[in-house]
Amino acid sequence: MKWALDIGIASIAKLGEELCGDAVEILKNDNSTIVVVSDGLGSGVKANILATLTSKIAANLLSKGVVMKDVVDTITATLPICQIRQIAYSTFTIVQIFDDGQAYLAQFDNPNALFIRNNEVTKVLGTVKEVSERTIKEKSLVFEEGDILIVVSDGVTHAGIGALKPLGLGEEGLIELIKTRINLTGTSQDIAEQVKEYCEIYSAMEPGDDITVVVLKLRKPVRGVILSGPPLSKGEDVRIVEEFFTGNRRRAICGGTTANIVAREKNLKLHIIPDYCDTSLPPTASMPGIDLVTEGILTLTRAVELLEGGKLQLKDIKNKEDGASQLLKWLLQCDEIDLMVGLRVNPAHLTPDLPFHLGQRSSLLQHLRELLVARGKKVTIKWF
Amino acid sequence: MKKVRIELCVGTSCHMLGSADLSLVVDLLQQEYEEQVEVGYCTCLGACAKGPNVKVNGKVLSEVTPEKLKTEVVNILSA
Ligand code: FES
Repeated sequence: MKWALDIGIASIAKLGEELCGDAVEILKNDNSTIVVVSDGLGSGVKANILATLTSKIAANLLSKGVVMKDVVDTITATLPICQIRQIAYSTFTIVQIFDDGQAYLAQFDNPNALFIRNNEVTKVLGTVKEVSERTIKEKSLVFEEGDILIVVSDGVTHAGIGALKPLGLGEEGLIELIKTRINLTGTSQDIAEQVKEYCEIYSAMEPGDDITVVVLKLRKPVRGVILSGPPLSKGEDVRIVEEFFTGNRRRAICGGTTANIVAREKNLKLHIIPDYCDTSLPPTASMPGIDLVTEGILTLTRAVELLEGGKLQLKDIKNKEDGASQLLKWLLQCDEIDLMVGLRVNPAHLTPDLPFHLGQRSSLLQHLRELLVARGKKVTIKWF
Repeated sequence: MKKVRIELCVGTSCHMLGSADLSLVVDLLQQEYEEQVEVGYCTCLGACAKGPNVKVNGKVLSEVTPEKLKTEVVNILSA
Protein backbone atom coordinates (compact mmCIF):
# COMPACT_ATOMS: atom_id res chain seq x y z
CA MET A 1 0.00 0.00 0.00
CA LYS A 2 1.62 3.20 -1.16
CA TRP A 3 -1.01 5.54 0.19
CA ALA A 4 -3.80 5.27 2.71
CA LEU A 5 -7.12 6.99 2.39
CA ASP A 6 -8.42 8.81 5.43
CA ILE A 7 -12.21 8.97 5.13
CA GLY A 8 -14.54 11.24 7.10
CA ILE A 9 -18.32 11.28 6.88
CA ALA A 10 -20.74 13.67 8.55
CA SER A 11 -24.43 13.81 7.81
CA ILE A 12 -27.69 14.97 9.26
CA ALA A 13 -31.29 14.40 8.18
CA LYS A 14 -33.67 17.15 7.17
CA LEU A 15 -35.51 18.59 10.15
CA GLY A 16 -38.37 16.31 11.15
CA GLU A 17 -37.04 13.23 9.32
CA GLU A 18 -35.48 10.38 11.18
CA LEU A 19 -33.72 8.88 8.22
CA CYS A 20 -31.26 10.73 6.06
CA GLY A 21 -32.12 10.56 2.37
CA ASP A 22 -28.44 10.57 1.47
CA ALA A 23 -26.36 7.42 1.60
CA VAL A 24 -22.63 6.85 1.61
CA GLU A 25 -21.12 3.51 0.71
CA ILE A 26 -17.47 2.65 1.07
CA LEU A 27 -15.95 -0.48 -0.37
CA LYS A 28 -12.34 -1.48 -0.42
CA ASN A 29 -10.97 -4.13 -2.69
CA ASP A 30 -7.40 -5.27 -3.19
CA ASN A 31 -5.99 -2.13 -4.72
CA SER A 32 -8.64 0.56 -4.52
CA THR A 33 -11.29 2.23 -2.41
CA ILE A 34 -14.68 3.03 -3.86
CA VAL A 35 -16.79 5.73 -2.27
CA VAL A 36 -20.32 6.43 -3.46
CA VAL A 37 -22.38 9.34 -2.20
CA SER A 38 -25.99 9.22 -3.28
CA ASP A 39 -28.94 11.50 -2.69
CA GLY A 40 -32.41 9.96 -3.14
CA LEU A 41 -35.36 11.87 -4.49
CA GLY A 42 -37.27 13.60 -1.71
CA SER A 43 -36.51 12.87 1.92
CA GLY A 44 -37.21 10.30 4.61
CA VAL A 45 -37.62 6.56 4.11
CA LYS A 46 -38.27 6.63 0.39
CA ALA A 47 -35.25 8.79 -0.34
CA ASN A 48 -33.15 6.70 1.99
CA ILE A 49 -34.06 3.49 0.13
CA LEU A 50 -33.32 5.05 -3.27
CA ALA A 51 -29.99 6.40 -2.10
CA THR A 52 -28.96 3.22 -0.31
CA LEU A 53 -29.80 1.07 -3.31
CA THR A 54 -27.92 3.37 -5.64
CA SER A 55 -24.79 3.52 -3.55
CA LYS A 56 -24.73 -0.20 -2.78
CA ILE A 57 -25.29 -1.24 -6.39
CA ALA A 58 -22.68 1.19 -7.69
CA ALA A 59 -20.02 0.28 -5.16
CA ASN A 60 -20.49 -3.45 -5.51
CA LEU A 61 -20.51 -3.49 -9.30
CA LEU A 62 -17.53 -1.19 -9.61
CA SER A 63 -15.51 -3.19 -7.13
CA LYS A 64 -16.10 -6.21 -9.36
CA GLY A 65 -14.76 -4.36 -12.36
CA VAL A 66 -18.06 -3.54 -14.10
CA VAL A 67 -17.73 -0.46 -16.36
CA MET A 68 -19.47 2.78 -15.50
CA LYS A 69 -22.02 2.62 -18.31
CA ASP A 70 -23.31 -0.75 -17.13
CA VAL A 71 -23.34 0.45 -13.54
CA VAL A 72 -25.54 3.41 -14.43
CA ASP A 73 -27.78 1.17 -16.58
CA THR A 74 -28.24 -1.23 -13.72
CA ILE A 75 -29.04 1.53 -11.26
CA THR A 76 -31.65 3.01 -13.57
CA ALA A 77 -33.21 -0.37 -14.23
CA THR A 78 -33.28 -1.42 -10.60
CA LEU A 79 -34.50 1.60 -8.71
CA PRO A 80 -38.17 1.54 -7.77
CA ILE A 81 -40.22 4.15 -9.60
CA CYS A 82 -41.80 6.96 -7.64
CA GLN A 83 -45.61 6.54 -7.73
CA ILE A 84 -46.26 10.26 -7.89
CA ARG A 85 -43.48 11.54 -10.11
CA GLN A 86 -43.14 8.39 -12.22
CA ILE A 87 -39.35 8.52 -12.09
CA ALA A 88 -36.68 6.52 -10.41
CA TYR A 89 -34.20 9.01 -9.37
CA SER A 90 -31.24 9.56 -7.20
CA THR A 91 -28.13 11.58 -7.82
CA PHE A 92 -24.69 10.21 -7.11
CA THR A 93 -20.98 10.85 -7.01
CA ILE A 94 -18.69 7.90 -7.40
CA VAL A 95 -15.02 8.04 -6.53
CA GLN A 96 -12.57 5.23 -7.02
CA ILE A 97 -9.09 5.84 -5.65
CA PHE A 98 -6.31 3.36 -6.23
CA ASP A 99 -3.50 2.71 -3.79
CA ASP A 100 -1.04 4.52 -6.05
CA GLY A 101 -3.10 7.75 -6.00
CA GLN A 102 -4.83 7.35 -9.39
CA ALA A 103 -8.46 8.33 -9.06
CA TYR A 104 -11.58 8.23 -11.16
CA LEU A 105 -14.66 10.33 -10.51
CA ALA A 106 -18.17 10.14 -11.94
CA GLN A 107 -20.77 12.68 -10.94
CA PHE A 108 -24.45 12.74 -11.70
CA ASP A 109 -26.44 15.77 -10.63
CA ASN A 110 -24.70 16.17 -7.27
CA PRO A 111 -22.91 19.44 -6.50
CA ASN A 112 -19.40 19.40 -8.00
CA ALA A 113 -16.82 17.68 -5.86
CA LEU A 114 -14.04 19.93 -4.57
CA PHE A 115 -10.38 19.10 -4.87
CA ILE A 116 -7.88 20.69 -2.51
CA ARG A 117 -4.13 20.76 -2.97
CA ASN A 118 -1.90 23.06 -0.89
CA ASN A 119 -4.97 24.95 0.36
CA GLU A 120 -6.01 25.68 -3.23
CA VAL A 121 -9.66 24.71 -3.66
CA THR A 122 -10.91 23.82 -7.16
CA LYS A 123 -14.15 22.38 -8.50
CA VAL A 124 -13.86 19.00 -10.17
CA LEU A 125 -15.82 19.57 -13.36
CA GLY A 126 -14.90 16.71 -15.69
CA THR A 127 -16.00 15.86 -19.19
CA VAL A 128 -19.67 15.48 -19.92
CA LYS A 129 -20.80 12.11 -21.19
CA GLU A 130 -24.20 10.67 -22.01
CA VAL A 131 -24.69 7.35 -20.29
CA SER A 132 -28.08 5.63 -20.42
CA GLU A 133 -29.77 8.95 -21.19
CA ARG A 134 -28.17 10.56 -18.24
CA THR A 135 -25.52 13.21 -18.27
CA ILE A 136 -22.54 12.07 -16.29
CA LYS A 137 -19.40 14.10 -15.64
CA GLU A 138 -16.26 12.02 -15.61
CA LYS A 139 -12.80 12.96 -14.44
CA SER A 140 -9.48 11.25 -13.84
CA LEU A 141 -7.18 12.66 -11.20
CA VAL A 142 -3.89 11.77 -9.63
CA PHE A 143 -3.76 12.29 -5.89
CA GLU A 144 -0.62 13.22 -4.02
CA GLU A 145 0.06 13.12 -0.30
CA GLY A 146 -2.12 15.62 1.56
CA ASP A 147 -4.61 16.10 -1.29
CA ILE A 148 -8.22 16.32 -0.19
CA LEU A 149 -11.45 15.61 -2.03
CA ILE A 150 -14.76 16.83 -0.62
CA VAL A 151 -18.04 15.41 -1.88
CA VAL A 152 -21.32 16.86 -0.63
CA SER A 153 -25.02 16.36 -1.21
CA ASP A 154 -27.09 19.34 -2.35
CA GLY A 155 -28.26 19.83 1.23
CA VAL A 156 -24.88 21.50 1.72
CA THR A 157 -25.07 23.90 -1.22
CA HIS A 158 -28.70 24.66 -0.33
CA ALA A 159 -27.91 25.19 3.34
CA GLY A 160 -29.25 28.44 4.70
CA ILE A 161 -32.17 28.90 2.30
CA GLY A 162 -34.88 30.68 4.19
CA ALA A 163 -32.48 31.31 7.02
CA LEU A 164 -28.98 32.85 7.17
CA LYS A 165 -28.20 32.39 3.45
CA PRO A 166 -31.40 33.31 1.59
CA LEU A 167 -30.05 31.98 -1.71
CA GLY A 168 -28.32 29.02 -0.16
CA LEU A 169 -24.63 28.56 0.52
CA GLY A 170 -23.96 27.61 -3.10
CA GLU A 171 -20.79 26.04 -4.49
CA GLU A 172 -18.90 29.34 -4.38
CA GLY A 173 -20.02 29.88 -0.81
CA LEU A 174 -18.83 26.40 0.11
CA ILE A 175 -15.43 27.08 -1.46
CA GLU A 176 -15.21 30.34 0.46
CA LEU A 177 -16.18 28.57 3.68
CA ILE A 178 -13.50 25.93 3.18
CA LYS A 179 -10.85 28.54 2.37
CA THR A 180 -11.58 30.80 5.28
CA ARG A 181 -13.05 28.81 8.14
CA ILE A 182 -12.18 25.15 7.91
CA ASN A 183 -9.02 23.78 9.43
CA LEU A 184 -7.76 21.50 6.68
CA THR A 185 -4.89 20.08 8.71
CA GLY A 186 -7.22 17.95 10.84
CA THR A 187 -8.38 14.42 10.11
CA SER A 188 -10.98 13.86 7.41
CA GLN A 189 -13.59 13.29 10.08
CA ASP A 190 -12.79 16.64 11.71
CA ILE A 191 -13.08 18.43 8.37
CA ALA A 192 -16.39 16.75 7.52
CA GLU A 193 -17.84 17.61 10.95
CA GLN A 194 -16.75 21.23 10.68
CA VAL A 195 -18.42 21.70 7.27
CA LYS A 196 -21.60 20.00 8.48
CA GLU A 197 -21.74 22.20 11.56
CA TYR A 198 -21.47 25.38 9.49
CA CYS A 199 -24.33 24.14 7.30
CA GLU A 200 -26.44 23.57 10.39
CA ILE A 201 -25.68 27.07 11.61
CA TYR A 202 -26.57 28.62 8.24
CA SER A 203 -29.86 26.72 8.44
CA ALA A 204 -30.46 28.16 11.91
CA MET A 205 -30.21 24.57 13.19
CA GLU A 206 -33.25 23.56 11.16
CA PRO A 207 -31.86 21.94 7.99
CA GLY A 208 -34.39 22.02 5.14
CA ASP A 209 -32.70 19.14 3.34
CA ASP A 210 -30.50 16.15 4.14
CA ILE A 211 -26.91 17.23 4.55
CA THR A 212 -23.96 14.93 3.83
CA VAL A 213 -20.29 15.76 3.70
CA VAL A 214 -17.66 13.19 2.74
CA VAL A 215 -13.98 14.02 2.99
CA LEU A 216 -11.18 11.93 1.52
CA LYS A 217 -7.57 12.67 2.27
CA LEU A 218 -4.53 10.85 1.00
CA ARG A 219 -1.81 10.21 3.52
CA LYS A 220 1.07 7.89 4.24
CA PRO A 221 -0.19 4.61 5.67
CA VAL A 222 0.32 4.17 9.40
CA ARG A 223 1.81 0.79 10.24
CA GLY A 224 1.46 -0.96 13.54
CA VAL A 225 2.53 -4.24 15.09
CA ILE A 226 0.97 -6.07 18.02
CA LEU A 227 2.84 -8.70 19.98
CA SER A 228 0.56 -11.02 21.89
CA GLY A 229 1.56 -14.23 23.59
CA PRO A 230 4.97 -15.81 24.25
CA PRO A 231 6.48 -18.08 21.55
CA LEU A 232 5.96 -21.84 21.82
CA SER A 233 9.62 -22.49 22.44
CA LYS A 234 11.29 -20.37 25.07
CA GLY A 235 14.47 -20.27 23.00
CA GLU A 236 12.65 -18.05 20.50
CA ASP A 237 12.02 -15.20 22.95
CA VAL A 238 15.04 -13.18 21.85
CA ARG A 239 14.36 -13.57 18.14
CA ILE A 240 10.69 -12.66 18.45
CA VAL A 241 11.39 -9.57 20.53
CA GLU A 242 14.02 -8.47 18.01
CA GLU A 243 11.55 -8.91 15.18
CA PHE A 244 8.93 -6.94 17.09
CA PHE A 245 11.29 -3.99 17.19
CA THR A 246 12.10 -4.00 13.48
CA GLY A 247 10.66 -1.55 10.96
CA ASN A 248 9.13 1.85 11.20
CA ARG A 249 5.96 0.76 12.97
CA ARG A 250 3.91 1.72 15.97
CA ARG A 251 4.06 -0.96 18.64
CA ALA A 252 1.60 -2.43 21.12
CA ILE A 253 1.73 -5.45 23.42
CA CYS A 254 -1.32 -7.44 24.54
CA GLY A 255 -0.43 -9.77 27.37
CA GLY A 256 1.22 -9.56 30.77
CA THR A 257 3.67 -12.39 30.24
CA THR A 258 4.53 -11.08 26.79
CA ALA A 259 5.19 -7.63 28.22
CA ASN A 260 7.49 -9.15 30.84
CA ILE A 261 9.46 -11.00 28.17
CA VAL A 262 9.96 -7.80 26.17
CA ALA A 263 10.94 -5.90 29.30
CA ARG A 264 13.48 -8.58 30.22
CA GLU A 265 15.02 -8.97 26.76
CA LYS A 266 15.25 -5.25 26.09
CA ASN A 267 16.03 -4.24 29.63
CA LEU A 268 13.07 -1.90 29.70
CA LYS A 269 10.95 -1.00 32.66
CA LEU A 270 7.36 -2.25 32.69
CA HIS A 271 5.22 0.05 34.73
CA ILE A 272 1.68 -1.07 35.55
CA ILE A 273 -0.74 1.84 35.74
CA PRO A 274 -2.97 0.99 38.69
CA ASP A 275 -5.83 3.05 37.40
CA TYR A 276 -9.05 1.10 37.01
CA CYS A 277 -11.06 3.19 34.56
CA ASP A 278 -13.23 0.14 34.10
CA THR A 279 -13.02 -2.47 36.85
CA SER A 280 -14.17 -5.22 34.51
CA LEU A 281 -10.82 -5.07 32.71
CA PRO A 282 -7.29 -5.42 34.09
CA PRO A 283 -5.23 -2.20 34.15
CA THR A 284 -2.87 -1.21 31.35
CA ALA A 285 0.88 -0.60 31.62
CA SER A 286 3.54 1.49 30.01
CA MET A 287 6.95 0.70 28.58
CA PRO A 288 9.40 3.05 26.87
CA GLY A 289 9.11 2.92 23.09
CA ILE A 290 5.78 1.07 23.14
CA ASP A 291 2.53 2.93 22.47
CA LEU A 292 0.39 0.66 24.55
CA VAL A 293 0.68 -2.34 26.86
CA THR A 294 -2.48 -4.18 27.88
CA GLU A 295 -3.45 -7.48 29.46
CA GLY A 296 -4.13 -10.21 26.88
CA ILE A 297 -7.22 -12.40 26.70
CA LEU A 298 -9.82 -10.31 28.54
CA THR A 299 -8.83 -7.08 26.83
CA LEU A 300 -8.73 -8.68 23.38
CA THR A 301 -12.09 -10.36 23.98
CA ARG A 302 -13.66 -7.01 24.85
CA ALA A 303 -12.07 -5.28 21.87
CA VAL A 304 -13.43 -7.98 19.55
CA GLU A 305 -16.90 -7.66 21.11
CA LEU A 306 -16.90 -3.91 20.59
CA LEU A 307 -15.80 -4.26 16.97
CA GLU A 308 -18.28 -6.99 16.19
CA GLY A 309 -21.31 -4.81 15.46
CA GLY A 310 -19.32 -3.08 12.72
CA LYS A 311 -20.71 0.26 13.84
CA LEU A 312 -18.02 1.34 16.28
CA GLN A 313 -16.51 4.74 15.53
CA LEU A 314 -13.51 6.46 17.00
CA LYS A 315 -15.65 9.10 18.63
CA ASP A 316 -17.60 6.45 20.61
CA ILE A 317 -14.46 5.55 22.54
CA LYS A 318 -12.63 8.86 22.33
CA ASN A 319 -12.91 9.55 26.07
CA LYS A 320 -12.55 6.00 27.34
CA GLU A 321 -9.24 4.93 28.80
CA ASP A 322 -9.77 1.25 29.64
CA GLY A 323 -7.43 -1.24 27.93
CA ALA A 324 -9.87 -2.38 25.24
CA SER A 325 -10.86 1.16 24.24
CA GLN A 326 -7.24 2.25 24.12
CA LEU A 327 -6.40 -0.78 22.01
CA LEU A 328 -9.25 -0.04 19.60
CA LYS A 329 -8.24 3.60 19.26
CA TRP A 330 -4.75 2.44 18.46
CA LEU A 331 -5.97 -0.14 15.93
CA LEU A 332 -8.36 2.23 14.18
CA GLN A 333 -5.56 4.73 13.68
CA CYS A 334 -3.43 2.16 11.86
CA ASP A 335 -3.85 1.29 8.18
CA GLU A 336 -1.61 -1.76 8.13
CA ILE A 337 -1.40 -4.02 11.15
CA ASP A 338 0.93 -6.95 11.74
CA LEU A 339 -0.22 -9.37 14.39
CA MET A 340 2.60 -11.38 15.97
CA VAL A 341 0.97 -14.13 17.97
CA GLY A 342 2.74 -16.50 20.33
CA LEU A 343 0.99 -19.77 21.09
CA ARG A 344 2.63 -20.73 24.40
CA VAL A 345 -0.04 -20.98 27.07
CA ASN A 346 0.67 -19.86 30.60
CA PRO A 347 1.04 -23.23 32.39
CA ALA A 348 -0.73 -21.74 35.37
CA HIS A 349 -3.78 -21.25 33.15
CA LEU A 350 -3.91 -24.89 32.21
CA THR A 351 -4.85 -26.29 35.59
CA PRO A 352 -8.36 -27.71 35.61
CA ASP A 353 -8.96 -25.88 38.90
CA LEU A 354 -9.30 -22.55 37.15
CA PRO A 355 -12.87 -21.60 38.04
CA PHE A 356 -13.64 -19.91 34.71
CA HIS A 357 -12.95 -20.45 31.05
CA LEU A 358 -10.47 -18.30 29.17
CA GLY A 359 -10.89 -17.90 25.43
CA GLN A 360 -8.12 -19.06 23.14
CA ARG A 361 -5.66 -16.46 22.01
CA SER A 362 -5.35 -17.92 18.52
CA SER A 363 -9.06 -17.85 17.72
CA LEU A 364 -9.45 -14.39 19.26
CA LEU A 365 -6.71 -12.92 17.11
CA GLN A 366 -7.98 -14.69 14.03
CA HIS A 367 -11.36 -13.11 14.66
CA LEU A 368 -9.82 -9.71 15.36
CA ARG A 369 -8.03 -9.93 12.05
CA GLU A 370 -11.29 -10.61 10.17
CA LEU A 371 -13.00 -7.67 11.85
CA LEU A 372 -10.13 -5.33 11.02
CA VAL A 373 -10.00 -6.48 7.40
CA ALA A 374 -13.73 -5.77 7.15
CA ARG A 375 -12.88 -2.24 8.19
CA GLY A 376 -10.45 -1.89 5.34
CA LYS A 377 -7.23 -2.52 7.28
CA LYS A 378 -4.44 -4.56 5.79
CA VAL A 379 -3.68 -7.20 8.37
CA THR A 380 -1.03 -9.89 8.46
CA ILE A 381 -0.83 -12.55 11.14
CA LYS A 382 2.17 -14.59 12.12
CA TRP A 383 2.07 -17.49 14.54
CA PHE A 384 5.08 -18.79 16.43
CA MET B 1 8.98 2.10 61.82
CA LYS B 2 7.64 -1.16 60.40
CA LYS B 3 7.17 -1.44 56.65
CA VAL B 4 5.09 -3.61 54.38
CA ARG B 5 5.75 -4.25 50.72
CA ILE B 6 2.64 -5.37 48.85
CA GLU B 7 2.77 -6.75 45.34
CA LEU B 8 -0.65 -7.19 43.82
CA CYS B 9 -1.11 -9.52 40.89
CA VAL B 10 -3.33 -7.92 38.26
CA GLY B 11 -2.88 -10.69 35.67
CA THR B 12 -5.74 -12.23 33.72
CA SER B 13 -6.75 -14.92 36.23
CA CYS B 14 -6.30 -12.83 39.33
CA HIS B 15 -8.34 -10.12 37.71
CA MET B 16 -11.17 -12.56 37.04
CA LEU B 17 -10.95 -13.66 40.64
CA GLY B 18 -11.14 -10.20 42.15
CA SER B 19 -7.88 -8.28 42.15
CA ALA B 20 -9.68 -5.04 41.27
CA ASP B 21 -11.31 -5.11 44.70
CA LEU B 22 -7.96 -5.75 46.34
CA SER B 23 -6.51 -2.72 44.62
CA LEU B 24 -9.11 -0.59 46.43
CA VAL B 25 -7.98 -2.05 49.76
CA VAL B 26 -4.39 -1.36 48.82
CA ASP B 27 -5.28 2.29 48.11
CA LEU B 28 -6.99 2.59 51.47
CA LEU B 29 -4.05 1.06 53.32
CA GLN B 30 -1.71 3.42 51.55
CA GLN B 31 -3.79 6.42 52.56
CA GLU B 32 -3.88 5.26 56.16
CA TYR B 33 -0.28 4.15 56.62
CA GLU B 34 1.38 6.32 53.99
CA GLU B 35 5.06 5.51 53.55
CA GLN B 36 4.82 2.43 55.77
CA VAL B 37 3.06 0.70 52.90
CA GLU B 38 4.85 0.29 49.62
CA VAL B 39 2.86 -1.01 46.67
CA GLY B 40 3.80 -2.69 43.42
CA TYR B 41 1.89 -4.57 40.74
CA CYS B 42 2.74 -7.62 38.70
CA THR B 43 1.17 -9.63 35.91
CA CYS B 44 1.37 -13.20 37.27
CA LEU B 45 2.67 -14.91 40.37
CA GLY B 46 2.30 -18.39 38.88
CA ALA B 47 -0.57 -19.50 41.10
CA CYS B 48 -3.46 -18.42 38.87
CA ALA B 49 -6.01 -21.05 39.93
CA LYS B 50 -5.70 -19.92 43.53
CA GLY B 51 -6.05 -16.23 42.84
CA PRO B 52 -6.30 -13.52 43.56
CA ASN B 53 -2.71 -13.65 44.70
CA VAL B 54 -0.79 -11.01 46.57
CA LYS B 55 2.83 -11.00 47.68
CA VAL B 56 3.19 -9.44 51.09
CA ASN B 57 6.77 -8.95 52.26
CA GLY B 58 7.92 -11.64 49.84
CA LYS B 59 5.35 -14.25 50.82
CA VAL B 60 2.66 -15.21 48.27
CA LEU B 61 -0.83 -15.22 49.76
CA SER B 62 -3.55 -16.97 47.75
CA GLU B 63 -7.34 -16.71 47.56
CA VAL B 64 -7.01 -13.33 49.15
CA THR B 65 -10.15 -11.48 50.10
CA PRO B 66 -10.20 -7.75 50.87
CA GLU B 67 -10.61 -8.50 54.62
CA LYS B 68 -7.79 -11.03 54.59
CA LEU B 69 -5.44 -8.57 52.91
CA LYS B 70 -6.27 -5.78 55.30
CA THR B 71 -5.87 -8.01 58.41
CA GLU B 72 -2.56 -9.37 57.15
CA VAL B 73 -1.10 -5.92 56.58
CA VAL B 74 -2.45 -4.42 59.78
CA ASN B 75 -1.11 -7.39 61.76
CA ILE B 76 2.38 -6.92 60.38
CA LEU B 77 2.36 -3.22 61.04
CA SER B 78 1.09 -3.52 64.57
CA ALA B 79 3.14 -6.57 65.57
S1 FES C 1 -2.56 -14.14 37.11
FE1 FES C 1 -2.19 -13.80 39.16
S2 FES C 1 -1.03 -15.50 39.65
FE2 FES C 1 -1.30 -15.76 37.53
